[in-house]
Amino acid sequence: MENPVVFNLETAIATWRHQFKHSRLFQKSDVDELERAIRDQVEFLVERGSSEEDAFRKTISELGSYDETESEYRKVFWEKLRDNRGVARELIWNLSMLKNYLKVSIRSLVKHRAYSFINILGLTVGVACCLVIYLFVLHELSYDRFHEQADNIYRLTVDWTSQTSDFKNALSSAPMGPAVQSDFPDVLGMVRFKPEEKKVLVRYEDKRFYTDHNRFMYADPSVFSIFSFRLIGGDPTSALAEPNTIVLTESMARKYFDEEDPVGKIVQIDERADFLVTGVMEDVPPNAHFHFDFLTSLENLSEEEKASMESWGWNPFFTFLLLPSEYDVARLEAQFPEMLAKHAGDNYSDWRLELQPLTDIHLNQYGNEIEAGSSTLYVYLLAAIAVLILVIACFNFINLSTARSSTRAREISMRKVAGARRGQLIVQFIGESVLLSLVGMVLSVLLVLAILPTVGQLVGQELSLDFTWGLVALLIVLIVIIGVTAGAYPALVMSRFNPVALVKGLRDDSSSGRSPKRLRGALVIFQFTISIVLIAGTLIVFRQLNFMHTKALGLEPEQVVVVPVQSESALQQVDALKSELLRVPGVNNVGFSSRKPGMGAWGTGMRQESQSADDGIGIKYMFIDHDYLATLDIELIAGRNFSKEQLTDEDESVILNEQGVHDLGWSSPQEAIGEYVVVRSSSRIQIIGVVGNFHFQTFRTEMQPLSLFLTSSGADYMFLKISAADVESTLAGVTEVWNQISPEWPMIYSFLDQDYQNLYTSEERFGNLFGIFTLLALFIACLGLFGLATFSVERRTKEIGIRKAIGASSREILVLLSKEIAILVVVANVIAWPIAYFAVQSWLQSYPFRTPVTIWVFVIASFAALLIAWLSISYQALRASRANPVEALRYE
Amino acid sequence: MLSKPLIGAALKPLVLSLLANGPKYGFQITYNARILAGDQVSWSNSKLYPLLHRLEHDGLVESFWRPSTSGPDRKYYQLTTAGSKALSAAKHEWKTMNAIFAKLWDPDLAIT
Repeated sequence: MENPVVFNLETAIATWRHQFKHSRLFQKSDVDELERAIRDQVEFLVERGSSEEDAFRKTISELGSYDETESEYRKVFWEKLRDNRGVARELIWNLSMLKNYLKVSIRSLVKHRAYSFINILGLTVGVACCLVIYLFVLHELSYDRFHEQADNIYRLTVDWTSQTSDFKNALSSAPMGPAVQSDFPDVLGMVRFKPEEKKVLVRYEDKRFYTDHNRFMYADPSVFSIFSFRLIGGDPTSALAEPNTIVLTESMARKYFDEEDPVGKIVQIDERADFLVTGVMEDVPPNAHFHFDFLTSLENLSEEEKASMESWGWNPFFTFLLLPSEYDVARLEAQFPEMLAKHAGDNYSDWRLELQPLTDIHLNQYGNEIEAGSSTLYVYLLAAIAVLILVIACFNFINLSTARSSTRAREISMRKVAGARRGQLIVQFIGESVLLSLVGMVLSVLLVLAILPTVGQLVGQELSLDFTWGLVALLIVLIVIIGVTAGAYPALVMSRFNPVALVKGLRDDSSSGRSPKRLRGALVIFQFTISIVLIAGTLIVFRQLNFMHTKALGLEPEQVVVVPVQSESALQQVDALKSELLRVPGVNNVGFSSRKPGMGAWGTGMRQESQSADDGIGIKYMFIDHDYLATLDIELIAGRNFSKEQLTDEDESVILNEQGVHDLGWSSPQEAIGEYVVVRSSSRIQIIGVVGNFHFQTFRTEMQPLSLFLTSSGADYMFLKISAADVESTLAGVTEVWNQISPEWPMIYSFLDQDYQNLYTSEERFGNLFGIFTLLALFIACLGLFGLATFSVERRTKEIGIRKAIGASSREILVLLSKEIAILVVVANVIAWPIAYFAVQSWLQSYPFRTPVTIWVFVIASFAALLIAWLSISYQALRASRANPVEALRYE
Repeated sequence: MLSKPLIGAALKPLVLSLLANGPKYGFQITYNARILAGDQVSWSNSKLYPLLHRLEHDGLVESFWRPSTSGPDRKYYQLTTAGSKALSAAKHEWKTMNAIFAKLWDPDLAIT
């Protein structure tokens, strides 16, 4: 039985006074004065017969609400401040309220540990992703910018695009550069590079190593005046002036000379010539679009190659021009056709010479690049992923804060009753989320520092986090943007509520369109739409990678060992070498060809004998021996292979691929057998066989016509088909045979399947990055779901208890709790499918050979999303469904 | 009942006038005003006290505390010289306004 509350005027007045306690607007004397007025009035009313309680109530209501009183006093307060020049002091005092907010924020974060943890973890991972992507993108954009004159260096390229082909060639011919330089005096400098495709054997005393592909570079001596490759020993102006001189990089200097100074020493190149080391240069930085270890003058090309340098049609050079700053490049380009006609005649009238800025090369790759670069598409895609991940993390934040707002209702109402203005509440809530984002940011920077080396390995780039002002500014901007956007919604919504409603418990139903619950649903749908698109994207990227690695090469790269052959003695004894090698246990077949599959081939012109010269086509060619097709399992679909019995095969026969047959105008391979073609408008050759299309180039290039000619005297590459069993001893046997026949050239080898894989490193990197970021995006989205599930179970504890008490099974409870989220994920699927479809289609367009986009990709992505979503809520749902209803009902 | 804006405008001269014949504390001002105006003027202390503070800040009134036999001390307000001048000016203004309305509403002097 409750005691009736007895009214006590002193208690009532004390309670009334209390509300002014923390306000700066009221001096103590002001409140004394008001109190005295209340007492006078109450006394007056009591004298006229009112009870003390009624008199007090009437007086207080006449006095007006606290808010009204406060707003009147505030006006006077600020007027006084203005006149007393106290405004600045007051503002500073207001700022010092921040200390209070900070204290409350920290308390609130600590009190709701689970939410804070989920929020901070999500933000940390999200921001770390963004930072890594930012660093990666920064790295991609930094290519070649280390050259001081980078903005004024252009590469001379040739656009071969015609009606039948679409090709921009990074390469140019030797006479182009000098012709441009002599015709246009504005051109400040010109340098040509020619990488040595073969591995070059470099010897110093007893040390001899092969260079890697394309790492032995020929160049004009002007290289050091145009590019900023820094010499640490030797004179850049004269380093390459003399023939038979060479510059090596720092790491090569260490490799060959240890601590000795290499300058002035002699190295032997390919066992044929002595070169004087005239300089040591810093290693080419990782963010250069091409690299080399040795640099020598074009003078040192072989005599045969030097003779070909006269030709406008021989295109193995990379030509760079140095132009004045702010030069009108388009105007210069416009004059190239005239120049080409003047120097080279009409033969090359369909070539369009163009200038490509040096800094564009890495992200805008042409055909025949020295090293595979990247593409702007990847940079854009990654940047988009970064933003999406950040968005997902922010949405978690908004979701969890609004969900949590009901549990903070009491705090908010207390603040409101105690006189907090809406603005103050907004500042407090946004401050709290800025604080969270600050914590997340600091943790993410630490995380990035910890994982950067691993990430660097994964993407094959050296990434580093340098604390530049730019980065610091970016971080601060991120903190503020994330904090404000994530905190704004909860702040605005929660500060709007009426304290009475808040104390009674925030209504959290979906009866009004603006309810937090509906917003949460929309945000979850958005998060899962992103996740599903990313999952589908990842699946397609990996399917395409897998497709390029394994599918439809048209040859069998497994168990094939590739040995580059440069040794004269080996080539002179090809037959002996072959028969010796075949005797090694495990070696099943040995074949030769002039090119390695995947690296492409040179081109020539060809037409049917009966056709006119105008109908000819461009066709790739390479030389093979009798055993090449068998060694690589290339299918012969018509006619015959080259035969040792047919002596005319070497000069008068050709094998075409299917594409070649088609392009030359025959309707079937059988039709072409026995027919004659004319090669380079002179020699007349018979088609003896047709092979199926095989990928002698990468999957990035469309299948091109190919002609195979016979060489019986060996060629640049030897292929050995070996048994899968005991590869090591087979290789040991092969090495032994090689060393007998070619003692001066150490054997080097690779596996063909591995070489093929290496062609797709940029796709692989992209795939890895894409996959990782997809996983992380999913992880963050699931964290959010987990938080929401925790919240919803917490709120529905009573409901679940009642349901169980009246007979609901655990399974029914589980379904009840999962249904809501399942519906959201299904809606996300409906939105995600078309987006994902168009996204993957447009990415795949860049590959002539691509994996089909099947519905299964989307089905799998959807199920994965659904499963992961369900898993992330199932823990909470299971716990709730298994709980004893008594516990639940005792809650509160 | 008079409208709020009118009371807002009249509050200052009213208070100054009430203080013209001697110091008064807040409740006395309210009490006298009630007697004068009956229910025509709704007095809100939430407006009266800030106004008194503003007048004091502007130097038109001054305040002092005086002990009371029946409870806590009371704060009294009285006119300053500047306050008396301001009251005269206000009186003049309101009389002028009154005269204008009187002429305006006199049926014999109707303005056409």
